[in-house]
Amino acid sequence: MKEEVSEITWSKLLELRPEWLWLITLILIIAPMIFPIHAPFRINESTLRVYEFVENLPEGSVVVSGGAGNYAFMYETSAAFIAFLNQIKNRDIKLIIFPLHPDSLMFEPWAIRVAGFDKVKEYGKDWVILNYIPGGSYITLPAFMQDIKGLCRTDLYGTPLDELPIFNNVDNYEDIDLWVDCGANSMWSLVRYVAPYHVPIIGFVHSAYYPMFQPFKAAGLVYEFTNGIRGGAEYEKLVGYTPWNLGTITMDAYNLYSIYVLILVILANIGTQILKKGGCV
Amino acid sequence: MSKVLYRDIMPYLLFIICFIPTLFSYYFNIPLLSKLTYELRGWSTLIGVTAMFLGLCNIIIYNYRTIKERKAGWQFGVYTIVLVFSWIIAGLYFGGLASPAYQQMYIYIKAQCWSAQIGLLTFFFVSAAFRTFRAKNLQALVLLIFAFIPFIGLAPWGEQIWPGWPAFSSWILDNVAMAGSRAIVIAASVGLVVMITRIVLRYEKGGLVRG
Repeated sequence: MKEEVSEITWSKLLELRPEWLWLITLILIIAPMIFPIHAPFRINESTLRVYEFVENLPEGSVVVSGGAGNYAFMYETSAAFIAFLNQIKNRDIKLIIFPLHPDSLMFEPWAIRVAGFDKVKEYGKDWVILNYIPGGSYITLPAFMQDIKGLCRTDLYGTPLDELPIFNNVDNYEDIDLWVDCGANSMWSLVRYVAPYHVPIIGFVHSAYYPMFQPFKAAGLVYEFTNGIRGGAEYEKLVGYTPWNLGTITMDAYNLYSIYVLILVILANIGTQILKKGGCV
Repeated sequence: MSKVLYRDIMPYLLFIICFIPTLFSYYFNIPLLSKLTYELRGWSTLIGVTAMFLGLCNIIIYNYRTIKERKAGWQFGVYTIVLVFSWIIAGLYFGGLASPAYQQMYIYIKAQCWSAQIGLLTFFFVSAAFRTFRAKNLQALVLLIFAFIPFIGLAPWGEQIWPGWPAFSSWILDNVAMAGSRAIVIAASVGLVVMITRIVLRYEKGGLVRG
């Protein structure tokens, strides 16, 4: 009788409606935003390598942010990108934004505003945003590497590149010191069309892509990656936190979320084994 | 004969004219080929722009027909057409993509919808994990364990229960997962080379020949 009750309870638990699970998820995500836990976390070696590489860039370096950054994955990739912008904003480092996706035209200026980059840096002299060029990155990237002004005649606002001081000494790949990518899947193009020119690449990538892109790092095509939102939180910690602290806030939610998922999976497995023993599965 | 020329030989010739200089200019520094490739890339960009415009026309025509014939879901067609024209007018009226007004519209409408759509995965993952991550056999158990190692490795509490967890998780990603990824990348690249070779040798005509 007792066993039957136990089996009925487990059976009911395993058939729990997803809406209840989603409700708890929502609470676990929102709660740490209102009441932050500030759980401590260590800095991964990959994030440290990214930070140190950027830190060691000589003054006057030119960085191209060329990727397919978009809003769909903004919580995964933007924390690290905003932290990167914070790291370089008080140094003499030029930033050229070359969008490889129509969404990047909006996404990257948004990140610039969030990081307060536009308040300390002068547009046209210290940073610039170029137009999105249709045709695919396999067309635009080789052309960009060979002749930036030939491919992009004007910036996003229609100003000819020759009139922008940032382009006084920037013509092609020889003048680029670092390429950063905050996109989800533009890395495939970058390793084909940027890496052969020996321009170091750093990717602020989605966690799901992180293991997939490891061969590029091992082959020396990409210098380093940050691992999704966790990498973003670590980068924020290294630069001394950013205005929004997207990564750090999300780490608290991720803490609770991962514990919750783990508990659910353990419960589901215990229930399945009990029902299996009782011959119900 | 003219049909064969038009459907078979011409597309193949065009492909070869574009393919040879692009391929060779990648490996060899020949000024003439580089110049030709550069020109071809410009054409490709123009084709890309034209394709985008055609796509816009296609969306309008398709939805117009759906509405006119009152096909299933025609209401969404109205919604699509209204949105397409609203964005075009907003872009033109407010001074293009770079204008702050257009950017704000984009961020607070389109971007939020997109983020929300992807954000739903968080919830679906919970219910999917609860329903499917069950160790019914040894293979499922191995999958379960390897799925949870990086999952916990990313969470700050993982390193609190065992300081070596992030390093172990990184080792799994950098070695075990990389071996699989590398195999996939290499196999896909070799497959691509084989496919191109088949197209060049005319064993594969699907992409070039109509009908």
